[in-house]
Amino acid sequence: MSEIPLIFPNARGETLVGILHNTAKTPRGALLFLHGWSGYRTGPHQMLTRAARHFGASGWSSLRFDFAGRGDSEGDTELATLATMRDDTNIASRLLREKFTDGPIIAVGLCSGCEIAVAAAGRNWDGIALWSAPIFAALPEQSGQEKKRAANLGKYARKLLDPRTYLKIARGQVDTAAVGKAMKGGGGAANKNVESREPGQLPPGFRAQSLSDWKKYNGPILQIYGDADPIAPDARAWYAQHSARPPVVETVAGANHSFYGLDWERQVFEITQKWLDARN
Amino acid sequence: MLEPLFFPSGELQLFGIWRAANNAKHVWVICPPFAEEEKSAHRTLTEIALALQARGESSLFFSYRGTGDSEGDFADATLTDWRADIAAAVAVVGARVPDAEIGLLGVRLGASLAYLERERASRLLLIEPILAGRAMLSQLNMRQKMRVSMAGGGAALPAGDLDGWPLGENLRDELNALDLRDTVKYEGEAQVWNVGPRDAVAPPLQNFADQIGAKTRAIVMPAFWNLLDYTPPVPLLEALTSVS
Amino acid sequence: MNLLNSRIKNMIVERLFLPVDPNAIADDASLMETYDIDSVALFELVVGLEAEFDISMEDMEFSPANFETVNAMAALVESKQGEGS
Repeated sequence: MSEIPLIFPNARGETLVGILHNTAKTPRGALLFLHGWSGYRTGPHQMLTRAARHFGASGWSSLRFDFAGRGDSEGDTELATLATMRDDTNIASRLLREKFTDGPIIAVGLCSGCEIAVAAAGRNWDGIALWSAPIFAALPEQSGQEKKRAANLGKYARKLLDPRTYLKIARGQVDTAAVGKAMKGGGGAANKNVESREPGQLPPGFRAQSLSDWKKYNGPILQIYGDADPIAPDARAWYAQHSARPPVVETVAGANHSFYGLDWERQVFEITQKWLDARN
Repeated sequence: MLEPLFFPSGELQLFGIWRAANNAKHVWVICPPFAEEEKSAHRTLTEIALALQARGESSLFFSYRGTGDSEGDFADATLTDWRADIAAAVAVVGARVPDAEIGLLGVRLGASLAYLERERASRLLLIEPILAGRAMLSQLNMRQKMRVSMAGGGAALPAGDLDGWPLGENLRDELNALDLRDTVKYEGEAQVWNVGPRDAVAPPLQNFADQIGAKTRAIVMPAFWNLLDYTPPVPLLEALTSVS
Repeated sequence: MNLLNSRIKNMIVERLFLPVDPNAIADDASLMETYDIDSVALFELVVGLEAEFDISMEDMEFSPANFETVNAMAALVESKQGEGS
């Protein structure tokens, strides 16, 4: 198997970085790995690199790449949204389809990468594996939002852009004006999945349109959750309700959200391998 | 220019991102931190590389064997191997820009390894170097325990499984033996940066800097190598402008 | 307010970059609930306690209950300092 560095432009002209895993023989199909919100193409805990090598050994080629603003790719981190990541994914998927004309193309999402898989599912894939999929495009802290905002000032403070503000906080000189400014809008994790016309937020209507497209996707879906992942019950219910075809759901006993354990990771690979074997 | 590439280190191929600046007089090898800290720090290191490039300095931001996209198995890796990987990265940048001065820029364990490989460079920028590997391992083990506790308990991971990273015995032993608290002067130009909530350099780091003859600087911002979500590293990039 | 609790509150505000007055943190309020402490923040508090009070916690000693409130953290610090005397 060969691993080839790849750069390609997205629709906004930013250069994205990826690694193409080519199997030695004719591939059974190709996988497109979609990393999570705070990770990049290799992991967490190098899980995606290891996954690509694991599935490569059984004949699946793959592409792992960084969304714009993540990892080594160009782009402003604070301006990346599910919408920009979906656009990047459409281009990566097309690239993969050009390189591997035979066999199925399967998306493998991890954490928020699953949301991208949902958003881009309509046009692209013959199957989707979702590892720790959250509810699609849910607002952060949807319930009790205002209460949480007051309590979570620390999280908002962390995204303040002005270094003087850090200094003031460090010195006990609270800069409420700057904090308020940070809380008003903009991108980043604090405002993930908020729809508005502000840069760094989802364009209005994105959630509804994506959901409508997702409901038309009728390919096979595999979901894997750790049973110590607090998001799993609500997320499973969401996918059961909103998917055209009921997902196959598997559970890894004891595992947390990002499968931070070698045995949990191994089980995720084995479950996925079995599911892939049934695809081709 | 952005160029992803593989380059040899012994029998293995390591992955790196080469960012070239025109007519660069300085070139940096960027040495990442350990295991999951690398994931949290990766974007910040990319932004450091971009900032260096914008001011006319080239860099190679690479992954040690068994990490990132590089070949090799983490379970087999050792600090000795990773020091050899730094040497291999230095050879690459030296060949690409023969007349440039080479610097090593490291974060956490990467800073410690950069210091150990100091003879290969004329400049060091050490961001929060690990002075005692044993303490770092203890904190990482504690963090793993926190993840388990906060996920509602459950079985602890087996020894050698560091949050999904297979920690081999040799690497563990070398980390436990890593101790930079009594060290020697560096003949080149060096800076040691403290990153944290205080506008002051912590005494152990100051002592280390004094021993090696480095300037120090306190960067007031969260410990970016521990965060789940990205924090714009503005204070860090601002401080970078002071590195001549 | 006793000095130990006051130092702990300052450390919490400092380490988590909380733009709040340290004195506004109640001794017996649940830090996890009030400030939505996640594993990242908790780790910062452990590192902060070690640095501020020059104590060292073995990883086997960790329990979230020791970080539930300022009072619980103060008890932990007193017990660790007692070990060294």
